[in-house]
Amino acid sequence: MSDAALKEVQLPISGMTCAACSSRIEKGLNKLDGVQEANVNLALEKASVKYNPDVTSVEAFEKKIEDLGYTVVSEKAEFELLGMTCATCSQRIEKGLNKMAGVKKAVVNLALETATVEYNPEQVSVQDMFKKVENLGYQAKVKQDAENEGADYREKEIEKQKGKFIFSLILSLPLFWSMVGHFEFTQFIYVPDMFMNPWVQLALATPVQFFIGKQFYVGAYKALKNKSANMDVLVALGTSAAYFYSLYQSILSIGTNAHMVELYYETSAILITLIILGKLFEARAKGRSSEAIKKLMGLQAKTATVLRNGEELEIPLEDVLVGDIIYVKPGEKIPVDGEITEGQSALDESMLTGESVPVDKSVGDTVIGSTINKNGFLKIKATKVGKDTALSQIIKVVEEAQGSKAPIQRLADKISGIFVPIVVSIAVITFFVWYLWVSPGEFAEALEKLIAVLVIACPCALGLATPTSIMAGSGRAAEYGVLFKGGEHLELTHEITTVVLDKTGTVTHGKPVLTDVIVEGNMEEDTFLQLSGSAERQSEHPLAEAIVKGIKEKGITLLNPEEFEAIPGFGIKARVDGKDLLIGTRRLMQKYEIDIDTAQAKMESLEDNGKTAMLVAVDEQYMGIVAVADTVKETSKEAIKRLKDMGLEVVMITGDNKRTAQAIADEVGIDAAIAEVLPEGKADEVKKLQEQGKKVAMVGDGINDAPALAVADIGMAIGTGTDVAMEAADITLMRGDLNSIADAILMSKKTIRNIRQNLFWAFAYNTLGIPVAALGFLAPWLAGAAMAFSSVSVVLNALRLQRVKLNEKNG
Amino acid sequence: MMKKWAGAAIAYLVLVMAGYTIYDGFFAEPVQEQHEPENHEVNEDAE
Repeated sequence: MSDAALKEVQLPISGMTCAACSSRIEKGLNKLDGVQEANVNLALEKASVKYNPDVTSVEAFEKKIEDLGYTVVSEKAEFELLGMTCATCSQRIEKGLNKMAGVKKAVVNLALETATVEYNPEQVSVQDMFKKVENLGYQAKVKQDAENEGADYREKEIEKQKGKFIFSLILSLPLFWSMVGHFEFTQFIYVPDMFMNPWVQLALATPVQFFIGKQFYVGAYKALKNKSANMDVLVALGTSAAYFYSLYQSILSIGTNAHMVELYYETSAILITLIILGKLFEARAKGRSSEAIKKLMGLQAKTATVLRNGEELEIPLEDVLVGDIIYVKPGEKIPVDGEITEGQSALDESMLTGESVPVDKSVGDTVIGSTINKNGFLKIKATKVGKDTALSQIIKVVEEAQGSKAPIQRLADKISGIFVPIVVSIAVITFFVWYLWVSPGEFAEALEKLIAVLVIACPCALGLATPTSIMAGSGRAAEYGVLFKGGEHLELTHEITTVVLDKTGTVTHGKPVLTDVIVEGNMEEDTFLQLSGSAERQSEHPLAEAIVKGIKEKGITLLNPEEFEAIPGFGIKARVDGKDLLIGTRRLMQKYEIDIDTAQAKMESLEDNGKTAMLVAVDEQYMGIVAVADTVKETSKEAIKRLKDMGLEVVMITGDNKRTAQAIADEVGIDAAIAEVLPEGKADEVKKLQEQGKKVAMVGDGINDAPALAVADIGMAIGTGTDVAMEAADITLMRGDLNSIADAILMSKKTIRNIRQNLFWAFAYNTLGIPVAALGFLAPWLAGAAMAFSSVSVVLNALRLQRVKLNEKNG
Repeated sequence: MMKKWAGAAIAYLVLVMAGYTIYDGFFAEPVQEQHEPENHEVNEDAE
């Protein structure tokens, strides 16, 4: 089945606690018929499934996820309906809504005139539902008091966990107090008799164990039911061992001095409290790592002022249609992508491109939604709205990148999948070693070691190490205008050794301008320019357009040619003001037998400087030269130096002649230029470099660069270029500036370094922690605290990426 | 939300403490003099 016929869906999932959970769901989904690829991201709490819609459906995925013991999160929306008259109307709306992809359940209440819909926000939006209702002939609007109901479920979950932590902490503190009596150095602290009583301890520990700790039992049950094990299993096992052993001791103590028994109630209660605290920190930090998306979404304007039926109306952004004329006052945000039809202004595009200097725009120029109109009044014709706008596309790319898996993560996933059974075995062995050999017959002591091993070994940090770094890294890169399409590209980019730059539109602006005018015959320069400009006026060639534009800018009025003929590959032939003109190449002049001997030296000199020179003959006599050139971007030289300073080889590739290519290469400091390469040849040149063992990044902007972008190890498309190039590329550089290449490589390096640090600490923590606990150097409650904070430290380390500064010259 | 959880925990704690006080005042036998606040640490003196 072709990729085009495959569908992709994102499902938000709740209930995952560690990497074992995410890999279990991933395996489960991948086993389903019709699923081509399923990825589950623990940090984002999302599954992304590529599937064949003819074979399977989203419902099947939801069922599978729920069978595995997790929940697919759905949102609820309630809205008011207008225009219903009878039960048929309500049924029609209900059926219509229920048929929509992503709607789980829709109920329409005729009496209340409301609809309550449970839906997957990744598949369908409330606006889509409104449109559906409107198409059915009714109207829908947001219910006033229900607007805030769809609040982020994560926020609610954090609030709930906070409450549970407070509850657990209050009941654990007296138990913790009772612990001070255990240590020599704290024995001077007074402990109320009450807290030493086993039945009081039991009464305090029981709600923590079963009410607050229920989530661990449920999680463990679900995992075991599916013949796997996760962090919940370890926590449930460890705390239950402590709790039930203490309960057994409490029962045995009946009729004896109750204060003499060995109890571990505080171990289980404090463990649960600390683990919940760790989860709380983790959830908050995870929320922060998706800030990049929230920031991007916050950039959108909320309303737009449009002209409809001759009236100025302020309407919600969602209601703007393609073709609408939008008014944008100075200081306002451009609501959607469009084209300026009236006015001129400087636009601040920094939020999308990272470029701080405002860009001047006037009639005919395209504008991007969410950029800020600085100083002029503009009338804009909307060309792209809703999900098609540049900002929506950027959000989509960033979301997909954050949700994707870097290859480096697979190893961590594999390890954490088999980790739990191994840990349980080690814990059991530890118990018997202590019970039978180290301290024979000391059940309590052996149990303590078993609990410590179980608790220290939770692989939570391992599961979080990679996805949190990928999220933070790709989010930060997006703020700099570098969009990675996936985690794998973020991982691969740092290995690049060679950067191949396309010339036109990448190193240069891609727009030729008139640079030189040489008049050699007996003619005034103005007349020469007027004749040349008028002759070129009807040509559609980009070079002709540059000549006409340049001449017009000099204030010269052009005439209408009486005759015009384009001679492809040679130039043009025209008649202006009664004079015959020929403008074009040497070959054109040779064809019409015009003597150009005097022009040769000047022409070569112009070409040596990277310019395209065109000869002009008037009435069969050579009269002069007009030269155009594509100008180099102001930042190219500095950016290329930055790349070379990073130790990278920089190569330029172009279809231009060798002389022009070398001139541009010299100007910007590129050592190697590959010239006269046909569009299809660019990919071959990239392959040749790869055959030499180099890791190649290709940077281009045009349709002709697409094959080379696809062949290269990393394809980078200049965001100001064509959509085709962006589609073929792995990274989109929103700024036209080549500095973004170094930024992308630097961000990749920093992200990979961050992932390695995280993985190192997570592995080291588990591999060191287990023997330390088994040897009896770690009290169970300390093991619990360490485990909880290992996850937090990994997430906090990943969040450092959000503060990375990229535009440092030294990289 | 937080206040509710904290309130519930404090109320429960007070209830347990009150229960113990009542039990201790009316039913419990007097605690022997040789009081050892012993939990899971092995009492070296006792050994």
